[in-house]
Amino acid sequence: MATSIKYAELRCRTHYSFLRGASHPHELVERAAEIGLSALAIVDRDGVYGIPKAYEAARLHPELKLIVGAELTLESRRLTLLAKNRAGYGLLCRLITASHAGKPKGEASLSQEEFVGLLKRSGNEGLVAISEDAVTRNQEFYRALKELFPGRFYLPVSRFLDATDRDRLRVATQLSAELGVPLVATNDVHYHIPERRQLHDTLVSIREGMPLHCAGEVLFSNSERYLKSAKQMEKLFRELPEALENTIRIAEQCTFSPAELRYRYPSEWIPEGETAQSYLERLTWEGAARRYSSAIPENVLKQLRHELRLVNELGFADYFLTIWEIVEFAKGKNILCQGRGSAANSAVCYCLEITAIDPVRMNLLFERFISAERGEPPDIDVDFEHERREEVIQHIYEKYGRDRAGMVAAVITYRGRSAHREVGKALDVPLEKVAEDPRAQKLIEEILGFPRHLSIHSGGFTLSADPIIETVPIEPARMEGRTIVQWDKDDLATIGLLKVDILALGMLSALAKTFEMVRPREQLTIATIPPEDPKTYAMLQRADTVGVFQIESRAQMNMLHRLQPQHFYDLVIEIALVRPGPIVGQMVHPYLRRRRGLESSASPDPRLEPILGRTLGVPLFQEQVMKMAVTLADFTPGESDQLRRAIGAWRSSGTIERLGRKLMDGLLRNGLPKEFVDRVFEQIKGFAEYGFPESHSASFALIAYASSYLKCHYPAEFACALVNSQPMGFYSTHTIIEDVKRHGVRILPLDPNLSDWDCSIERKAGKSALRLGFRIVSGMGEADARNLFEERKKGPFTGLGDFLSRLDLPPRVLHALAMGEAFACFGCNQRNALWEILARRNLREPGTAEQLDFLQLMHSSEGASDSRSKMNFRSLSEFEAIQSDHRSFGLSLRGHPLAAIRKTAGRKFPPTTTTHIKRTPAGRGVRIAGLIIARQRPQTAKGVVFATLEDEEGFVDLMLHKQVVEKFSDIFLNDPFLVVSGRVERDRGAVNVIVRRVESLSNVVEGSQFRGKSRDFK
Amino acid sequence: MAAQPEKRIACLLIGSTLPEGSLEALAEASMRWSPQVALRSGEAVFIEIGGSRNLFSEESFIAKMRVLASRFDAHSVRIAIADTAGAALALARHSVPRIDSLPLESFVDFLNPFATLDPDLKRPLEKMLHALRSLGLSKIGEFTSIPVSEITPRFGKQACEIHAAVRGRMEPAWEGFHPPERILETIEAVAGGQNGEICADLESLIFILKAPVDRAMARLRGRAQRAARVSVTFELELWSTIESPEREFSVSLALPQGASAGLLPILQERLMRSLEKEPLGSPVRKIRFEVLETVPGRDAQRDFFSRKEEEDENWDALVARLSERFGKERVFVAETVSRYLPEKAYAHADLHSRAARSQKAAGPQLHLRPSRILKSPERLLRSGRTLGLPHPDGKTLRANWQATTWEGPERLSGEWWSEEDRFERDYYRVTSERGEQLWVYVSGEVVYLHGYFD
Repeated sequence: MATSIKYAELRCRTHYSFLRGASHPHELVERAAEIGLSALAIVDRDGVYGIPKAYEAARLHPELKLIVGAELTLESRRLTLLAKNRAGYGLLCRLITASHAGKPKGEASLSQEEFVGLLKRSGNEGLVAISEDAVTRNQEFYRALKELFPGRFYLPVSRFLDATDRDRLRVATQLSAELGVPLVATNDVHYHIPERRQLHDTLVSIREGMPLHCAGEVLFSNSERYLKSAKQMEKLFRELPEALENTIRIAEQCTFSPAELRYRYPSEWIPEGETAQSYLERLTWEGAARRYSSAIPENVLKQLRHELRLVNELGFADYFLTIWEIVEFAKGKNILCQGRGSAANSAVCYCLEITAIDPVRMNLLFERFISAERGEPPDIDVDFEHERREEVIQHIYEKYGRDRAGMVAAVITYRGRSAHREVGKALDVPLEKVAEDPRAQKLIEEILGFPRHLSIHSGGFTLSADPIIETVPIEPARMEGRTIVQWDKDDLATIGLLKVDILALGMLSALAKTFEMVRPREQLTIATIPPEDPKTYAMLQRADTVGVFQIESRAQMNMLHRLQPQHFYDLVIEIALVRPGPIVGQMVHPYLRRRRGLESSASPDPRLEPILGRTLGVPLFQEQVMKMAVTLADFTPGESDQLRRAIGAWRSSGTIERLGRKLMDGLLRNGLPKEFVDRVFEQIKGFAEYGFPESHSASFALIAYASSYLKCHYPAEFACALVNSQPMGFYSTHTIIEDVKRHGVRILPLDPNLSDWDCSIERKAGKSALRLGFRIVSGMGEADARNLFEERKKGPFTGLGDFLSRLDLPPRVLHALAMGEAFACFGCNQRNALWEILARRNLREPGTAEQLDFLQLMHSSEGASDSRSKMNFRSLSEFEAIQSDHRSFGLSLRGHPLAAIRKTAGRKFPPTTTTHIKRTPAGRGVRIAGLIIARQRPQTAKGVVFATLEDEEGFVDLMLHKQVVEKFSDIFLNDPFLVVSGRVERDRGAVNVIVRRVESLSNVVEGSQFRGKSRDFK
Repeated sequence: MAAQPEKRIACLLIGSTLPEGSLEALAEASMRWSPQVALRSGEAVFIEIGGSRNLFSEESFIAKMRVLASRFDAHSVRIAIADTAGAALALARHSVPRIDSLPLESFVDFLNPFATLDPDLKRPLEKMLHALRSLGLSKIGEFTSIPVSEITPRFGKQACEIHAAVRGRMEPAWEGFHPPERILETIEAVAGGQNGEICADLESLIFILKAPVDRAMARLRGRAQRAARVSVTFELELWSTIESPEREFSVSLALPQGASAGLLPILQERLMRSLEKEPLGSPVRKIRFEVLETVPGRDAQRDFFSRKEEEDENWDALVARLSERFGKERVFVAETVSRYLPEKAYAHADLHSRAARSQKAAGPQLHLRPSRILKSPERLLRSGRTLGLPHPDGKTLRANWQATTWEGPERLSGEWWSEEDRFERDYYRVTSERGEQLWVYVSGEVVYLHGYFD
């Protein structure tokens, strides 16, 4: 819109002012360009959260200047600061960092002393300051600002057409005249168009924790705080033209752009005389010599040279070295770690021992990891033992310092459920009615994706050679000891900053522990585990995979029966197959049919054989689509990478239409059959849902195989390690122990004189038995256990009395030990032990000994007792004992609770067991009782819920259609013990019960109230 | 063999919620059988009947109690009789015949049958119950079979007390119920002089009424209470023409009154209106004044150095009198409400609300607003500079103004979430040629009058 009047909006908030702004950064930028503003200053509260996204949008609108700033909190006042140049921006980041440091979340503030002190640093002249709206003529504050920002301080003047306009204008003009401070017009923008006012009101309501109808004058009185054009502002400030002109004057001074943010990788480990690239190459060739103990194969040499050349061209050597250094630290501390994701495509990463998969042997696609066209740093994610990841994090902080290292933020946004809940509260509509309310639906649609608060990206770090707090502010995270930068991973990528992911994997902890336990007999590592062990694959074919990484869920077990893995690559496929992507893309059944020989697995064209041969002609991985695009549709490697990204952004991007069409046309042009091409297009839609890249699946398959091997050959040690690494995995400690018992491993009870904190292995006659440790005791902490061990060093406990007199454990712990019969070794059953404990650790209030003696004397004529007399409490029944064990330890060695109920319930109890079910022909009706140990409702399953039912003999899988779940939801979702009726369905070894009726076992059999816990997964 | 207990306590446990005051009335009615009555608020009545053993058996007493309870709409009741209040309550609550069969949860009834247990005492009790259940105990009989010497070291003083209470060896102090005293004053309605003329006119009656009202209010004052509902009853001369020998006037006061100076004018208003509609059928012989309902008042001692109490009393009297004159629905105290929609930016405050009558309005800063605001905006007709307020007949104008200046706009919009209240208005202060100042707004194309700046 051409106009002779120019205007720059210098106070504009995005939704990154967290519940204060109601527009995305890109909406504000696009609207500002549309209405012809000269410049737009994004000034979010106490941060620069929205700058990268605004910058990304502004790159498409070169006619609009983006000004970077922030609104700082100075005790009870606010001050807008705009960055004129790089130095000013660096100082702004320091000010923001200081305002957050040591303050509770959401209460950033700078004291006057801090503020003035920091402004003395260089960069002050690179800032323009605009105060908040003057509502009082108290001049002291404004004089101070005028002195701190000579020639760069302005008073804002706004007209919102509300009741305070006149006063505001009067005060501002008077102050301006008295102090000689110029005025600058601003509309204090909170949203880009007036129609967003409703959403803004809703955000205020959420922020203030009150429904809209109670918010009253907390809300704005009208919809005027939107981006206004120069013409609109001219009409409002007809009598103050200089206020408008000053906006342009200021905008012209502010030349800083985020494009100026140059980044340097940390590089202190590079030896003298070397460059990052030369050092990287040396390490790579040294690693290759270790990896390939005989001569390095030609194809590996070729691949390594290609990768190193690309790394050199793109300048990423420092990045690889940064990751290598972290991995070396972990290895030096014997912390198990392994790279995952697309990094497994890199031979350099393999040689540096960052990843464990040989990508050349696996024929993986390097361009999935880095490409020249992409031009951005690669993403290397490394998993560490989850219990030791903190050591790695502390190493990074120590090495780089808190001003050069910060964890990456994750922006928690409003999604379906939270949006429904918060909008419902704002409108004061009950949650169950929100879906029907048209006002709510509109608001929900708008609020989806809005930031709620900042969290820590799990394990993501950004590191820099220079103080990072001059590039992006750092603030404390909610987790103690953690600080985060104000940008998320996408923002870092936009600006070009490095991110490394330090992730935690429970299974690595379990593997490390197992290796340690096995060490006296066999020195094992992930790398030295014998590959392709037939016994291990036989176990996998039986789907005997409780505790095994990635393939222990009910869905995976089901697939194992059908897929019958025989080799490592089968595991790669197994892991990738049970994901939403392949399911939605309808790849699963075609693959399985071909595997069983029910249809031909030949590719429709011999040129596809090298790409699809391993997956029997069905594209299961994004990399295969990328390879097809390059080999058979004339894509460059970079274009194929764009295609991969477009696939990943299917629902939100129109790019897929263009690139997908190009792919289809290219394949057809190169002579591939139309039927195949159409099918591929449908299948790659599935990749829009979450699917694993091949390299990632391969990395995980390695860990899955290692854990399978250990479970197969060292079941006691493996189960022990799993229990000691809880919480992790799919199953509870109870299920792990029940499973290992079924494998013939003896479980030894908790013993005050023999147990450690962790469960441990006791070897007798060449067999391993698992001794339970104190970690399973409900309410017991490691500190309590340490006291016990210290005391035990002085000599074993000779009885319960001795135990109680030497230790001061909390009552709840003693209660748990007593009721779990941990004192059986002293000849005490549960109740006798508890009785004894109560006497020693009585519950009376202090200081009433005399009173008690008197009271006892008063009543001693009745029931006068021989204090040596033993109390005879009724012994717990078997079921009660099992129940009591579960309350104390989360498991029981007496047996499965179902077995106990079955014994006493008699004829009312359904006689069918899981063993019977497994032998029942398909189509037959059954009725079975059991304990629900897991429930799952996959997003792709359209409301179908899958569950696992356990009894004393094993598991069976249940499937409940949506209407059955709805009909019996109260029982099914809340009662752990159920009786289900349904029909058996079989597919090879996989057996399901399609449930049509659910009853509570306690309704069928009295006295079976049991407090177990199901692990529920979405 | 144990001696015959002297005491027997009956407990009437109410199974449903009774209207307010009914349990107290039931307790008061129970006093016909025994002066020893106690209450458990909202739940139970205890009556000591050991002393009435000679007059009726326990079975017949239970039957009498049921009949009495039904008169107070307490139909689902449980009754138990035992040696202590705690035992009687527990037996009634759990409907078991013997103390030994009571569940452990009934400890709480033994500890304090007359009130809910203090949270500080409840916590240790719950811990003890948890431990006892873990030991497999569920009934009181199992608990009492354990010697107190074993119980006390493990569970402390409270357990010892329970052990004793359950065995009837100890019980909390009896919290006797005392029905509230009636505030009732009576006076012969004799006009001055020796003739003994009996009063028939209102003025004389009010004059005579003053004395009993003064006495009643003084008694209330001494109890630090104020009257919320009163009744005046005229006993009439027994003429053959009258239908009833008494006329009662029950007055619910809009605001409680603590002084006769405030109450009398209210009574006068009520009597005046009532007698205008229906005059007395015969002269009044006697007047009864009774305070039927009270609320806590100010201090029993008046502070003669503070005017605040007098001001508050005067205010209460004024408001109550206006309510009496015009009707409660037409008298209200307005307090500001934080809303932008002007006609809803105030609310009827509770007449009792002290904040509502405070000099400083608690609420948001008030913007410039007209001194008079219409209850509902009225549509104006606009033609050039003329603004006209049409008559309801639509044919003529009730008023019109020549607008000289339009100051504004103040743009007010909001409440978009409400179908009924959403609004979008540009307000102006319009000055007319005659100097009047109107508060008008434009919504869409239409102009509305909303108030006047005086």
